[in-house]
Amino acid sequence: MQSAVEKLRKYRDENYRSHDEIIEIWTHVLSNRNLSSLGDEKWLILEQIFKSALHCSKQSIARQCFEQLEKKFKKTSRRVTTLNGMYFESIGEFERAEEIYSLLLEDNETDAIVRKRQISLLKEQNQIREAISQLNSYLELYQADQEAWSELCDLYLSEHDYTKAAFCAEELLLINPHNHLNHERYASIRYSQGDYEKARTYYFSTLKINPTNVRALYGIILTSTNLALKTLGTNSKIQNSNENNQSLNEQMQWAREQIMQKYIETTPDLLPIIESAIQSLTL
Amino acid sequence: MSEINTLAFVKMFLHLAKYPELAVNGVLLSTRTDSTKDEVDSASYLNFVDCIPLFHGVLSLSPMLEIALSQIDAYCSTRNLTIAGYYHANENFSDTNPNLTAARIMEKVRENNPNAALIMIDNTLVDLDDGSRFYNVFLWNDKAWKNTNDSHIVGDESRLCALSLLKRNQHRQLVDFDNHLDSISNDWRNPHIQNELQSIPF
Repeated sequence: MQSAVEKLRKYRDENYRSHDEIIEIWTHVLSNRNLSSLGDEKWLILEQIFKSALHCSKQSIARQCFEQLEKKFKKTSRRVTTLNGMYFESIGEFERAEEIYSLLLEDNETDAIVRKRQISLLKEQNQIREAISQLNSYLELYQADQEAWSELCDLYLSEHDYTKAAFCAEELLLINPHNHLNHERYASIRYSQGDYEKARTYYFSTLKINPTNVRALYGIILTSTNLALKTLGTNSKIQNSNENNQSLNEQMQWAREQIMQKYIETTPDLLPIIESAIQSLTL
Repeated sequence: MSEINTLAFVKMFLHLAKYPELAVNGVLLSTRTDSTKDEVDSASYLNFVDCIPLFHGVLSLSPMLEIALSQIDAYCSTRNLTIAGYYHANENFSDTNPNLTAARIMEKVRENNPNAALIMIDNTLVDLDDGSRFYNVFLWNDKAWKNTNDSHIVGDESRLCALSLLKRNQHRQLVDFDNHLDSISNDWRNPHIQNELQSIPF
């Protein structure tokens, strides 16, 4: 039982999404045990199992956990009431869920978690434009909420609104400039827009933070190729553009070598495919 | 007319099982037929023999798609295969319509193979409770996507193999291109899945 509890703790702390595994742990190990020996952790576990059960459509397990939570924390607990709302979301009773959330917000309009659940409701009903609008309002108040900026970025990307997605990615960069993933995401959005210069800059800044980021290395190859092609299209007799192209070429070769080295070290039998692929991209 | 073999079916299924809450996409490969005739033959036969899962979550960023397609093309040339299908599962449970991303990627795929099929996953059928079909097969005909489910063949054992591998938690072992980019020791060709399939008695 101890290892199961530790695993669940790890999954909670590191935000793992292995819901089916969590339910397995519950069904095979924990559901028949007396969890009182765990003290307060018992309630965290029950909440965790509840959420994973909803993800796996195991409503009966969710209900079991919920009943225990409600018994302990009473109907007055906002956290428990929010869970109840999530239950109705998962069975598709969106109006009931909305009622619960509205009531909670009437009581305390600063409840960020409930506001985000309302936005999730919109997403579940495929009202993406509405969700974007609500999320924008939310972010005017909670400007440092990384999760929200990330979600808004994804929503804009699903609509192919790269400009607005880039804005969200920029906010994330401002909030946490040391996360290589933020740089790489921003670069990829700019690339998708066709802004190869900016994409390249940020692929490089990604590599500065994390030299092993493979997406960034590939990004250097792609952006260098595209930029070289662009200058070929214009007046290539200009001295500058020749020097430019040379440095683009050098950097592309460098990135190519970095990638090759990685494949040699880890999956050498993919190497011929990679070589051929890069060649076709850089022709 | 189109047909799918167990390997392609199972890989596609496992990709969905691995990321049940996210949008996912990937390509299906078929054997390369003799393409001396250039005309778009809507009666042509698509035989899906393998599947390369691509991404999960955000599907609309182009750089990694370019990288993936270039590598898959290179892989195809060594095996006389071609990209003949693209599958796409929307994040929203009940949405089976191809969105802008699916349309754009299909355009790209059809540049190289005008006969390529669009496979839209129907999330409500993925539990395989009622049969093998968890997707709709569309072919481009007369400036529109036509549903060709009636002329699509799935072998009986595909469903059983898929469920069997799921029970063995093989969906957690499935590698898509995103996983590969996260750590290149993850092989997007998924040879281990093929091995697992071969170890099934039927």
